[in-house]
Amino acid sequence: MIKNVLKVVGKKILLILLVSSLVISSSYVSFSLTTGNQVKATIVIPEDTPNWIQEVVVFFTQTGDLELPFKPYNWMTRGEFVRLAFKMYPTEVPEDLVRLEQQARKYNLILKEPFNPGEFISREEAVTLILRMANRRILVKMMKLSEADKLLSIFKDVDEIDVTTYKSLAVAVREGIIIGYPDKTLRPKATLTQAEVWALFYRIRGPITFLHFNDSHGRLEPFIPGTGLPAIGGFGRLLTLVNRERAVNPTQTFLFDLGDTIHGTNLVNLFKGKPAIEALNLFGMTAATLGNHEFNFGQGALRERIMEANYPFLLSNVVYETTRMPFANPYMILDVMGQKVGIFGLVTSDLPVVTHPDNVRGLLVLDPLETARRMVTLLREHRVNSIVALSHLGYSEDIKLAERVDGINLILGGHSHTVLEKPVLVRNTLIAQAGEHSRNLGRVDMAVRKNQIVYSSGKLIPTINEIVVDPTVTDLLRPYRDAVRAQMDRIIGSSFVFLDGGRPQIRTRETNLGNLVADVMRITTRSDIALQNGGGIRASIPAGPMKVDQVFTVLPFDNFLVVLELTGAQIKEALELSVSRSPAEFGGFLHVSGMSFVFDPKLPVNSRVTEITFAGRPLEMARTYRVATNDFLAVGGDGYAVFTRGRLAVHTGEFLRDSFIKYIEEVKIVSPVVEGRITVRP
Amino acid sequence: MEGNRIIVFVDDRELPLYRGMEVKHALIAYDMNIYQEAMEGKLKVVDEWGNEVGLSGAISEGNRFYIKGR
Repeated sequence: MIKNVLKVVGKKILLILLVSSLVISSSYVSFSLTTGNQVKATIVIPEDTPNWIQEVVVFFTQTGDLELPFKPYNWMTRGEFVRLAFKMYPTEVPEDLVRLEQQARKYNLILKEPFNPGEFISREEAVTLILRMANRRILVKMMKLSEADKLLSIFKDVDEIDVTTYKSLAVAVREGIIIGYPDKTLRPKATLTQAEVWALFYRIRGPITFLHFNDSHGRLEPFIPGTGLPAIGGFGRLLTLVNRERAVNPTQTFLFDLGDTIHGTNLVNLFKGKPAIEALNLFGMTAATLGNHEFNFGQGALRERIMEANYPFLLSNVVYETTRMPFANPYMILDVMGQKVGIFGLVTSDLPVVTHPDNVRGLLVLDPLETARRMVTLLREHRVNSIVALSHLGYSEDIKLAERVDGINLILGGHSHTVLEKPVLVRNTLIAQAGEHSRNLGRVDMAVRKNQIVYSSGKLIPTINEIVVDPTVTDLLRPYRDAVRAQMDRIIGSSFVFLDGGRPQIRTRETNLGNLVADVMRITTRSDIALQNGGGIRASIPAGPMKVDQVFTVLPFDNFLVVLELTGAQIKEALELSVSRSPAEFGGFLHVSGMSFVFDPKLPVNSRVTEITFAGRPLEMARTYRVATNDFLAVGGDGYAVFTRGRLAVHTGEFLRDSFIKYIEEVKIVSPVVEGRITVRP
Repeated sequence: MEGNRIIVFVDDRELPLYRGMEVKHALIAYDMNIYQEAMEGKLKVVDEWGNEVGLSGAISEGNRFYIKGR
């Protein structure tokens, strides 16, 4: 063998000793060792080094586990192996052989007598000992002989496996720690090189891979992102990517959903999120957290979805008001080959504000930062090796979390729909987020030693059109898609009269459909008054049976129903704007419920409204009223800046369209009329 | 701010909105034409750190957004 010993040269360049059996390589590749965005050092490796060795060397050099120089092709002795095992699962690494043997006995790392530390270790022995260090003995004990036979019978040299290591090898094959050779052998008796042993340890102490996605909002199926563009996204593509990425690191890959999944499209809304959970049950999810939109169907439906999921939902900052018991599992601890990862969930403290009050009745949302501190303390008491927060707080709040709470190694985020192409390091915490709407799968690879991140990398993988749609998802969704079509055709009630939503009328004067929509808003929210812009009502409905798809045509926008607190003066200001263009068409022309008013178009703008009546009396300018409207107007759409000066009392989290459908289903028959709510003085 | 109201910024213009609103609401409050073009995919919105954000993304007190072409 030819040895080239090269010492550390320069400030940041480390040259690795690699023993090549015959040839000194003349060209090299370099790798930067990074944490987050910071480059710590650069290592240089002969270019002809196999990729799998390069990967292992780069990783373990970065974590500090592998010291240079490294001789990848030397055989590994039993004593070297045991020392390495103690290093990987940090315990004292004795120098002298007597103490080494004592320690090996203590940790049950002697398979047969005598210990013989100078002997080369075999593959079957190494695998068995690794499982013992990785806390996998219970799996070996529970492995049935019949299952072990099934797993190992595919290998031609199965008869060479020692009886004492048989079940261990079966567990290792099942867990993906070893996969055998292309010639269908396992080579149990073969001695191992240094590189091969490090590669084994890479499978159990290499980077942990965290796959993540957030804010899918019911985008279970592929969709067209813009005119003329090919379809992207959907859970079928997402699953293909998950399976592909999982294959890269089969023993240490975990998958997380960061919330706002089960609400957003007809495919999920019409079934209260059920198809989303059924689809994710195909993914091998590790855990999810709850977003604010998970509460949109009410606590009862949410509980059903949680029960249907084959994975846990984690949420540590929502409790029942009376008992202070958590609404969902606050945390979990993952055993990753003997390393413990503590995981907890957080939802935005805006939750009570962004969903109907009924949906969170009896619940209390605790401060996320205080909760996070408590969770870190609790998880440290469980002696976890690293801590991950599943956050539905939004990126700017995730930054605060990283800045103000010690001990979180990784924040997987959602809520703000932020596209973080690579994870961002804030102090000692990585933050990642994958955009929205099943457009990306996020991947973070991370290794933590003594609470510090010693290795990290990450990226977003877009669900572009070229990614194959996994057919299991398509097949699962097919009956739901058919049911959506049937739902759209469903008759929800009927109208005795033509419902007038014609453009010239709806944008200039009172119509019966305008009245009906406003009534639905006021009644649904139990408000004093409702105001709806004519521009949001897009069609008429003929007399007779009323179908769901007709309502979609009338109210096509995904506008949420909200309630503002406005003074009488602010309401008057809004009405003045409403009639400011009369008799010309105006999308902001307001249809009203719970009140009536008179205006004179001949008067100057902002002085046209001459009379406003509420409950049979003049509207009081100083009094505060509960006014139902839509979120578009609430933020000043159509020029209604006055609405932004009110107070948001309720955000129902429900589309106005859905409220309308529910109302018609309840009352069955409607017959609205023009009744003089808006009077034009001649 | 009181009354569930918050302040966000679009292209450094201060905009009063409500807690629980989304990026698209900030655009509505900023400029309807910009909102329309963003909804049509002709423009994108980035946060103060340069990351693109979805139009249905939630906003928080003090968030700053900038409009960019595609």
